[in-house]
Amino acid sequence: MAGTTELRRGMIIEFNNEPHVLIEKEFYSPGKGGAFNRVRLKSIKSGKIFNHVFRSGEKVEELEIESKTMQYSYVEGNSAVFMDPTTYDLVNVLMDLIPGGTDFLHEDGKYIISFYEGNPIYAQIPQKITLKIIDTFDAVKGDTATNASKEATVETGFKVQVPLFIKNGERIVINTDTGTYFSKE
Amino acid sequence: MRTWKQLKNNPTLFPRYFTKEYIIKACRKFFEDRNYHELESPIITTALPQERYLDVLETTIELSNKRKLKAYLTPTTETYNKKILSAGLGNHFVITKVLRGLEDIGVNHSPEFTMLEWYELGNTYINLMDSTEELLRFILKYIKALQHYSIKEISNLSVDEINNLKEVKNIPLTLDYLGKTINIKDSFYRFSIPEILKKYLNIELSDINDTNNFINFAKNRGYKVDNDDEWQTIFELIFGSEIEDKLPIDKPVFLYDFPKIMCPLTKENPANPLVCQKVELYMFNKEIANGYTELIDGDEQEKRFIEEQNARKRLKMKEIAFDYDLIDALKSGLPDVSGIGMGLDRLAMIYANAKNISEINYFPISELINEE
Repeated sequence: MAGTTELRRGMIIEFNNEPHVLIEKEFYSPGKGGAFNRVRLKSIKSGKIFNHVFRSGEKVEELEIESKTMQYSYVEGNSAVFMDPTTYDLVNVLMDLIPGGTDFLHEDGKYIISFYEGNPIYAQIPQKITLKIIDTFDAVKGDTATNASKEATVETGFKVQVPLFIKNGERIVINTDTGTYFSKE
Repeated sequence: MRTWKQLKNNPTLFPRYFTKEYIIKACRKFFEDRNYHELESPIITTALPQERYLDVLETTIELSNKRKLKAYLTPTTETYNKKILSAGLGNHFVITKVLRGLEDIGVNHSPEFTMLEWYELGNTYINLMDSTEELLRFILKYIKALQHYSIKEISNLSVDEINNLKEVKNIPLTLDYLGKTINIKDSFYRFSIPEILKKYLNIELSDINDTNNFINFAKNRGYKVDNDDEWQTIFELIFGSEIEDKLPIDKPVFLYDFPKIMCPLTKENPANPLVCQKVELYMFNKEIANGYTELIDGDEQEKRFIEEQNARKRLKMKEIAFDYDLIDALKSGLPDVSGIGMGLDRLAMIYANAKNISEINYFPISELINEE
């Protein structure tokens, strides 16, 4: 059994007697009724995705899973195809089991794919990923309310707020946990 | 990489971090313009208001002759505000760090954060909602003015003068946050908790005001609750699961009239004895502020603190020293007053369009916890 402080993305837990993937987790403590963890779960059997709130201190059953580090290859329909670099085996992982969908998929990234009863059930993405900016405007002073940042699109199509000095064609490091700009490459 | 190193590499990241500084400056300007005093409240204290879910950080100060002072790091300034109000200070505000003993950090949660508290003599929670709206609009104009003027240039201007600067007078009063727009120009939404319960759960507060009824209601909705669970815990569980994410985000939302059990320091609402005159502000589903028409009856406050103290024992929460000095102050007489606390870190996240609380602080605690 795991405590709520051990909950993490990609964990497979038993919920209502069925296996579920934990897709997202956020700790919060409103200070009026204890502390909580808001999680997003996906049922492995039905594919249904839903939110659930665990009370701090609740016990959660973690299920044993097998995992492999794989390379991203290409998108096929509503899934992404990953390749095992040693055996060249290909597996398809549904987009909603990949944090951010295609946002952080890149051939250079290493992804840890989890399997449950032989089927791929989750792709853990690297915490930081370097991507090229394909679209942003040259900022002019006074463009935004706080003058803090501007929008840029990276090669995967993901939109991110970046500092004003970042230009088209530059590569930036994105923190995939928060989906925010981390630094210039 | 530590934030200071990132800033050293990329100095143009600074404006995001300036947001909280500007918010603090704008708040000072706003309240000084209303002739409010600024109270400096201590970080170290030896007694606390009894609230059942208050998580506190403790410390021990070692004095000479093996004397030890058991102390807490202030989780809320409220007791100081009330003592000084009782002494006769009148309208005032505080901007300070407060600390909480949290078991984890989150996108909106850090154990230390900057709090603005202000107290309005003779006013109620309704007035607090009005002042909050004015303050948030002014903060935006203040930040905008700093794109055209230096801090020094606007330091001698009044709130009205800043609001009417030609560069900011007609700006759209909107905030762009995570791809959405929050309109702060028009009156914010104001929903009472009984209204919210009716709207999202189709239930009357009077039907679930009794804890056993609420437990049964929650069980029927599929929640895992125990028969000895507290009313507040069930409320937060349901609020966090079914309500919070559904609150509108196109304008800030005031929720008001909270069930009495959730507000041990708040005056009852004479129009509905089930609720107290407490208000919370939500922006983009984040709780930003929490205010009350303050309970000023010392006897009633003592009674409620004892209830809370007993609840802490029941919940196996850390025992915290009882602030009899506060009861003493209330019993000596406190004017009618309303007060509100606003988390400036979360506000800065919204004004800086930052997703995580660690992105608006130069020295976020996440750097210490998640060392790279």
